[in-house]
Amino acid sequence: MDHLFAAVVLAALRYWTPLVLAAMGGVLSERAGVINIGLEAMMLGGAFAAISGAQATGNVFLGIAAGVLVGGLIGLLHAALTQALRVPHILSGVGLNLGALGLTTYALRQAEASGTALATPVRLSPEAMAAAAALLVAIVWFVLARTALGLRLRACGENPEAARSAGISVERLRYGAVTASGALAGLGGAALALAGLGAFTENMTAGRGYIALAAVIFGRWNPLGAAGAALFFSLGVAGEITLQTLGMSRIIPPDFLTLLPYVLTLIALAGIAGRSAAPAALGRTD
Amino acid sequence: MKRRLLRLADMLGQPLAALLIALFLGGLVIGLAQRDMTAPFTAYGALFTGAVGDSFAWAGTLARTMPILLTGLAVAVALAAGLFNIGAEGQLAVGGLAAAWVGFALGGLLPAPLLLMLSLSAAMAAGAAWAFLPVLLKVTRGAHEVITAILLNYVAQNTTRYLATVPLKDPSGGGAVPQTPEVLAVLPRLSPTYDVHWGLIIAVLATVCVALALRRTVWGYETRAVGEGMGAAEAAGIRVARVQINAFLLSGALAGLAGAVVIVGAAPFRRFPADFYGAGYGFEGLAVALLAGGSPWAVLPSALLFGVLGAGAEAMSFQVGTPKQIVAVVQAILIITVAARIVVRRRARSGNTATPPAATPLPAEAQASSTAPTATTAATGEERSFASSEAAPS
Repeated sequence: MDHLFAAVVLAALRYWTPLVLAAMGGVLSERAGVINIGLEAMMLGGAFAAISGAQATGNVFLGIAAGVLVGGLIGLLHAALTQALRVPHILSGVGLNLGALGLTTYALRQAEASGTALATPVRLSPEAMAAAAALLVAIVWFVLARTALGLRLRACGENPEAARSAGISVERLRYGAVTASGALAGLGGAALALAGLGAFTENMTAGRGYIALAAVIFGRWNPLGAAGAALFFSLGVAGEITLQTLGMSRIIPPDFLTLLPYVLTLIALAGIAGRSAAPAALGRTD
Repeated sequence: MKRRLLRLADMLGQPLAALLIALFLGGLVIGLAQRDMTAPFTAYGALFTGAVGDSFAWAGTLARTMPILLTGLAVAVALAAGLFNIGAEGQLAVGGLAAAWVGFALGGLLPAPLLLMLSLSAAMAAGAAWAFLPVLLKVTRGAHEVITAILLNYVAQNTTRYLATVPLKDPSGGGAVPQTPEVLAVLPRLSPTYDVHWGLIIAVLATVCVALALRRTVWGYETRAVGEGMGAAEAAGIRVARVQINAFLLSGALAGLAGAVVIVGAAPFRRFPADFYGAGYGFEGLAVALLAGGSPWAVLPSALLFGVLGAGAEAMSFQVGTPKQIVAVVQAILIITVAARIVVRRRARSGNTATPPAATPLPAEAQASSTAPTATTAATGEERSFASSEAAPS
């Protein structure tokens, strides 16, 4: 029984790592007032760059760096689109997701056509990566809750006019927050690719960016809450995998077992009122 | 006359410029990836020949346009009320399955026209039902409809796959994936030569009806008022929650109808395959509606453009081997560029009160120009949009 428990926890942590990293990115961006549905694009771009980088250099850390860099660049693009060009945040995010999926799949097909696979033998330890993710949660929480920078950043999300009149450069802070958000999601993508399969596959994030955003909302835009929400979802996934391996799929169809984490999250979302917790200026383009 | 022409040029100029930018950047990607700067021309040549080269190509393009016209309309209706229906793909899937189930299960019992009507109605009901939970949670709990609808998409994907694989599976097999038995009533073709059927007429009629209703009826007025700004609508005595629920249910019904016209339309469907979710018509509808700026009229050309790109992409990858995903990149750049350009222009105009507002695709301004004296709204240069009025949940 202990063995089974340990297996569930390990499986949950493996799933949790990329998810919570993206969720931390989501918290940073949204607390600064920018809706980030583009987390999916940033994770996917990060996963692609991590595999390509590790494949090209044979070094896992350079792979991670590539993932963080590409995620951050997509974040910077989201910041520029929403802040400088005032593109509605959800529109920019949906566009980035569509573009990232198209571009990575295009590159994958091109690689396949020339007979090379996007795969690397170098790997990350999932346990080390989970520990790093936990550390980053603590850092994001500390910065947001306990530093002057965090206070300014939250001011940008709650009342940008007041922040501006207090001499805070709202746009610059948002650029920073959304770029950092992309870097964290890119790191999540890198963790997903390098601690898991060691290869890039079509749409390999498969909606994890959206789930991370759900975790942000479920966690009421608080880093610790979002980390908890991501863990809740991950335990649901791990529970589902365990039930499958225990042969439950003979009683409950596997298609329904797969639904377990999504339905649990849906019920959890229905049980909380999100309205009051959201940053007041979230999503405004003026 | 001259002024009208100028206005038309203004209206078309922005999206056309955006299209050129998107095609250029997409071409750059093709050229760089294949290390051959003639490759984009070959690829785009094959794309446009494949989409509009002859009458058969056009028929394929129209068939490709039909479902995304309906899903694009579905998303646009929700946008008009300030809601983002990212769940269209899931609503499409449950609608398609409902249409297929009615089409084969009640097959022998009813005459074909009645069966067809029932199939389409069942799909709309199923799509609306699937859209109900996100909007209910939105108005009662304040849960963001984007998140709940995405979660429900997964539920739709797995549930429809299970139903088509196990209880509703065609026992005689056939097909690469499990699928339901063939429906017994199908939408008739418009011509014996081409693979275009009555679904296209239904889609165009639905678009015209919704566009007129949004502009000319009390329902439409209230919906647009809510999309424009919930506080003001509430102050004017509009029951915001009810308006949002109605708009989202209609949106789900239209997405469900899109699923039905695909399934009970032409080959290769007429059966619901287990992997129907992910065909992408729902997600493409999001992009179609965003490109149209949420205006139901603009959904028509927007869907056609996506139909051209979608049908052409298949031909391109088949003939010259360029992966068809490049079209997704072009579409992404297109919707972002259009949105960005609208704002740039509005900013440029904000200092100049004399310029009359041209017809623009974003719902906020389109509504403002119809409900209020135009010069004043243009003069504020206000950058309101669906995201700004809706996504801040406070």
